[in-house]
Amino acid sequence: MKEFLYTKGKRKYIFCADSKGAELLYNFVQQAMEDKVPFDFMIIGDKSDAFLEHWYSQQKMGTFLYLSGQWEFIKRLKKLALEAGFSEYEMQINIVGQISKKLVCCECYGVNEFIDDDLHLTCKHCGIVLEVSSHYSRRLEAYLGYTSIS
Amino acid sequence: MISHFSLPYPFSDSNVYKYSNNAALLHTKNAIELTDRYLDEISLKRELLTKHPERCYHSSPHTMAAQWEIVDLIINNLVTYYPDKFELEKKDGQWIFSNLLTKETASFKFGDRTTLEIEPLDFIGRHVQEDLILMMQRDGDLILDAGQLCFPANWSLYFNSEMNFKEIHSPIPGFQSDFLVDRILQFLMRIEAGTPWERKNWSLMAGSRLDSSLETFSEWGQARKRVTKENAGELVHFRVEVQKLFRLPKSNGILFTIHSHMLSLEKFIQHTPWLEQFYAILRELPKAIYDYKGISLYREQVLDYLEAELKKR
Repeated sequence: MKEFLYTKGKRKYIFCADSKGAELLYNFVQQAMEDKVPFDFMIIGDKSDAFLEHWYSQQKMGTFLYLSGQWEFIKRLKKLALEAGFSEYEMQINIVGQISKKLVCCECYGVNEFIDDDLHLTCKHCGIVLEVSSHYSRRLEAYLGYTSIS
Repeated sequence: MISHFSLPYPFSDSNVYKYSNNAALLHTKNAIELTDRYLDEISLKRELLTKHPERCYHSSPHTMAAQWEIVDLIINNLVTYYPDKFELEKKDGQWIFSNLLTKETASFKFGDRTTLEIEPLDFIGRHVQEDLILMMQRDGDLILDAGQLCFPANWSLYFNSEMNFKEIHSPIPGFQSDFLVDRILQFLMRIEAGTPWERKNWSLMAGSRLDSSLETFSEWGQARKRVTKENAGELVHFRVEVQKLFRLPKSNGILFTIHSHMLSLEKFIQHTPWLEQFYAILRELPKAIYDYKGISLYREQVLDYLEAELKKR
């Protein structure tokens, strides 16, 4: 992932954060104020998807989006932004805390979520215990979970 | 009756085994070999493909031309090397392929997908004991774009599909660090049409299941815990994969055929030179390799068994 940096020269900035990610954006907000560039800064509490969809879709070309927060928050806002027409090149992302990843069960192909510290988990689809591995499939966007015989 | 000589022997003169690119030119140029297990293995294959299609077959849409090349190569191979068992008649682009062993005849228009009930690779794979893997070459890499895999040695076609060469081999210990993977990839990408290669890979298997897929490991893997010095000869099987590599001239893909052979240890060691060499190799095998081959749980028991047998000679 690219370093989380303020990129000068954009038409407008949108800064979105959850309560954990807000602090990192304060410098960026200050920079935008100094540059006298329009910006919105919003700490997303319980805003609905419909609100965010509407807000994103009102933005004009050249608007740059910053998202800072925990993984679940980032996943939700990034998805909404992409749906509203933002591209990956028009946003920067800062993830606070752990990223949850996907693990494919080698027996039933069911997909499970895990975080970096997990070594084992129980497949929520078939109930077997899976060992987290580093074997990764880009097609499935997931790691392989092995069974054990012990 | 299976003689021990029916098993392709994977070791060279050296008593120390290590990973290497041990490929050799395939002089006979036959992709396919039939053994006396043909009908049993064909019917097992077809049963697995019917019950577990997602596990045993995968293809990307852009592989159709290469799949037809594989049909051409394999049918020509079958009628050339086994003319009393397979026949091919060509009439106005129509191919009539007969398998005299299964008493089946298939008629299709070569290159026309709609004239076959299943994809070409899936169709021809059901007539041979080999597993068939198609690697397409692009962007300086080989991509696993299609395969029919019923007898894997503990890996998953579903998971590995559409991976590049390095991604596929990343679980092998030491494979990343010593550049072996790069050298083998470069070697494979230089394979030329008409000059096929062959290599052999070996492992041990507690039990005798050919369909030792990763997906069913929790079933067949249990036998590893039951191995003792006393039952090793019967329970443990020596497994050899004969792997052959063919360049497909039109699509520039590579066909990778895998024929899995198995023989119980008690039959394998009837030939004393094999017993002596295998004992030496297994004793010196580095831990990372026997862990990866899945032998760790019963290696000691097998060594004890082999040692006792050596003392009897």
